[in-house]
Amino acid sequence: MSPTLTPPEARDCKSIEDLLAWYANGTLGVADRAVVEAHVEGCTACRTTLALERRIVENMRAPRDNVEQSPHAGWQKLVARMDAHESSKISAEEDVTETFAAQNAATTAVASGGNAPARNSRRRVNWPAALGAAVAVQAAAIAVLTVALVRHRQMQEAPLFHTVADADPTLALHGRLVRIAFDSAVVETAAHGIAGEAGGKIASGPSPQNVYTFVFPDSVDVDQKVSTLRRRAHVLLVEPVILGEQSHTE
Amino acid sequence: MTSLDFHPESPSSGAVDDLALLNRVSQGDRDAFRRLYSHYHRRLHRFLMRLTRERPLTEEIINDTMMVVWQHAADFRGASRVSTWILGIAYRRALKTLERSRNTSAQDVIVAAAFAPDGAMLDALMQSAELHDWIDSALSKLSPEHRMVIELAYFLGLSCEEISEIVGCPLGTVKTRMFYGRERLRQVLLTLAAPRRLAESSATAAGSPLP
Repeated sequence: MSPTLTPPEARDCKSIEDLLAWYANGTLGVADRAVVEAHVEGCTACRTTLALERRIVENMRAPRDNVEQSPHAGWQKLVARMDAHESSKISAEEDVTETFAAQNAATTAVASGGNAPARNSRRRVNWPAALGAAVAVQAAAIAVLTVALVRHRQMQEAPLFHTVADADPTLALHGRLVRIAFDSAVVETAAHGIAGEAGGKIASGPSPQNVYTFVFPDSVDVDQKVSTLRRRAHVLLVEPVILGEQSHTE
Repeated sequence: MTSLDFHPESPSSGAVDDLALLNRVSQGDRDAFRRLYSHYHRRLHRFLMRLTRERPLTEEIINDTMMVVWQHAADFRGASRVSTWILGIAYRRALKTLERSRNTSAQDVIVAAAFAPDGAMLDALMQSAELHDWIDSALSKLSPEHRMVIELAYFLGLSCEEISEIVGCPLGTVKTRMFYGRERLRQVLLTLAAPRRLAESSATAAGSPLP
């Protein structure tokens, strides 16, 4: 049986042309393969094109040389690269860890008055435990500072009381002593004048409460002086300082 | 031939083993990765050597490709075959390399247009002992996109669908690139073969008796 002499239509050749490459590489489906085979049997042009495609495929798949490249050398290089990558990742993680540890150590050193030993060892840190410790240290430092601040303010605000039993330097003076409290109208200059008029002088004062200590010679009648001073304007309180027998004798 | 050997026309061989190996690789199993590397090294080497012609560069692309596999094995979702996924990575690496050394010779293509690809010329082309070299030369004059589709189809024996997945473009684009790639390849081949044919024609004319 001779092949048909009727050339296929150009449209058919165009559609077959698109399939020839996939026919030549062996991936065309069964139905399309049948269509191509039926067409090329009667079409010289497409048969020639297919033959060329097959030659190209054969040539491209032909071995280039007999030298087979071993994967060993490439594998060794890749392993080195993987190791380097892993190391850089671990190093980056440790840098972050060390930064945190250094901050933590600095906080601890401040809280302990600078007596904490400096540590520079490269070691892994348990992050939750480290965070908990840092928070605890900071909370303790805040508590200590708060207590210190409150005590300081309390000491500033507390009034200063002196009693006879206190270690008053005026008690060491020779003479008779009288404590006198003025109201705010009497300033220090006026107090000096009052002390002079009474025959004495200021031994100490004024205190924040405007209290003075006057000293008189031993020969003065202190009770009389106290009585006179109590009658003066702006005087709130006048009391003689009664010393013990031992003090008198010294 | 074992399942680890290279089959240009049956790239699906070893697909099940590949998946099992890749699962182990995703868990950091270096022994599994070494086996996967050995499995794909020969295939990638032959494919990439065709494109780069340089062993060091080929090895570099292989290791770049396999480093991506090592780092992203856990990202493989099984939407394609493992071989398709790995070849896709190698494709993109190779494409970058080819684009850097793009060497289009439009002059050759223009000259080729002067020669009508008649049957006699194609026959002569096929019979030429130099066809092997001419194909290499012609392929190097194609654009990277056209050349890669032809290499994937003719050298690796991949289907249109597989190439579509590897290249990451629609089937129609693969068919179009294949059509124009083959067309240009044929034109360049004819251009390379033309001087020889002209010489043969001249020799024939010189030897023929005068009318």
